[in-house]
Amino acid sequence: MNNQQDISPERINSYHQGKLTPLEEHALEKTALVNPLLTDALEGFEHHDAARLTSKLNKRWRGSGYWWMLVLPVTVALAIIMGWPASQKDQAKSAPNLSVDKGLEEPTEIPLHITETRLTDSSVQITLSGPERVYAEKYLAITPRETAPEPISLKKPEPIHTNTNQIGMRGTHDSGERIFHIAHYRVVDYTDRQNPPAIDTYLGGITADRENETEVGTTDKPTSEIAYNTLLREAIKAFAAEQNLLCATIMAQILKTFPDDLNALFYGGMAQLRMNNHDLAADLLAAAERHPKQVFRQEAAFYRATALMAIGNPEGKEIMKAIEARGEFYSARAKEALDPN
Amino acid sequence: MLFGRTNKTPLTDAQTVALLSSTGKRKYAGILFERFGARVLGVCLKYLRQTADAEDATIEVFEHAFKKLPQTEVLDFGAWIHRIAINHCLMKLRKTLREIPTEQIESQEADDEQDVTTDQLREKLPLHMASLPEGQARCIKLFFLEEKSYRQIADLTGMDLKTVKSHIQNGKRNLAIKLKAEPAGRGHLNHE
Repeated sequence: MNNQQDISPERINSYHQGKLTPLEEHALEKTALVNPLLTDALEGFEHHDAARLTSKLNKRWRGSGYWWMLVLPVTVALAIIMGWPASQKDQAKSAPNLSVDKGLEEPTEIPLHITETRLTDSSVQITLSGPERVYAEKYLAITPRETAPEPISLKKPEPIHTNTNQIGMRGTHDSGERIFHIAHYRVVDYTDRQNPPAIDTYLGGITADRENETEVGTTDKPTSEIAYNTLLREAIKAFAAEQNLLCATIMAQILKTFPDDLNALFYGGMAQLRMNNHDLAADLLAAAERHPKQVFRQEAAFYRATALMAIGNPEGKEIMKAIEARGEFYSARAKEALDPN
Repeated sequence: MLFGRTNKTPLTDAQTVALLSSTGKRKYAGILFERFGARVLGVCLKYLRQTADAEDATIEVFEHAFKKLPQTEVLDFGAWIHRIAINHCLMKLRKTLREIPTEQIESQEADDEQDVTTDQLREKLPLHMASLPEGQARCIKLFFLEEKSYRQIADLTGMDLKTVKSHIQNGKRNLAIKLKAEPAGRGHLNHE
């Protein structure tokens, strides 16, 4: 893809300042719609002077010491020594008619294509690395009110429990399933999954942690190994901190391997709802609601209805009415949602 | 002068990338930085918000990309560096456990969607319009068929700009999914 259209920083400024004609605005928006890089850039510069910052950046780049003068020749030399195809060099010499159909690199980082979450692609690539680790406290117990907890706030996370003495055991769950809490949010723990993960990189145990990470050199395998629960902890901690994109991204990864993962469906759906991706949120929450494990049934129904109402889908109101009529935990909020006044 | 001729270069992005990969000549890195630097900076600003952080991140993204380039086959440099930029920002955010500015973030487009051009969408639009939620259908119609800008659509519908944008992006994604699901011959757009 080449950049034929003028999408200079000055033009981006003009766009945000309303200085383009409607036709020019439309043309830029149309381009952005199929060019996620431009979409993000437009959003990023919404409150900044693109021209000034870009000029500053260019100066800095020019003065940055041309690090790559050192790096590139070395890597090229290494590549040649290690068998970098001679045709590459030949092509370079006979430029400009260079071959470009080399194929896009297989991504080795986290793909952010969140709408792919329920595809049954068993290959998952994760590059969650670095020193950070979430130290969420874990309670190996079940809340006495697990089917009707305090609502998960869409604005500020609220603790389900502030007093751990309230936590008691209840034998209402499947064997092997435990409910614990990460950052005060309920989590279904699959430590004793009957069906082990399709790929052995998900170690499945709470005790398994980053020390189990193993770098893998090929792109058709995960780039690192990480325990399922470690990954889940990161995602739910992100949700609690309202880092919704991060949460949704990690949950999307989990769903690729475990399409029926209740935590990923619910919290992934909630994260999408917070980001106003209502269609996707409704789909994910519907799956959470239908899930055989009923842990999030009421919450999923309520927030799915919220998502549907936000996009004007009449089904949203119907679900809200049913919730209100059932007199469950969310009835009062359903009533409020139906009649805000 | 290092960057002086970059705007006049007849090379495509792909040619520039291939030349940089194979020759390592600095002028090709300069061309790519000049073409994509501003947009990558915008991406970093979206995620990191602070201008100083975003500038640092942009430089780091290009450094990382150029280091990887000789061992990487890149067809679409813009898409490739966009992905590197996002992951780099997420990694930085994760390290600092800083809050992502949610009000500015929307999900990325799906691969499904990227296979479908806006012209193809416009062509197939009437067939699928009825299946979209009302708000999406209205915004999509105004944008693709009547070629209105987001601002004009907001004025015409009374919706705010963010809602308009969200409706168009979600509507386009829904349409793309439907088009991809069409039987071959009717709408397998990637192969048309």
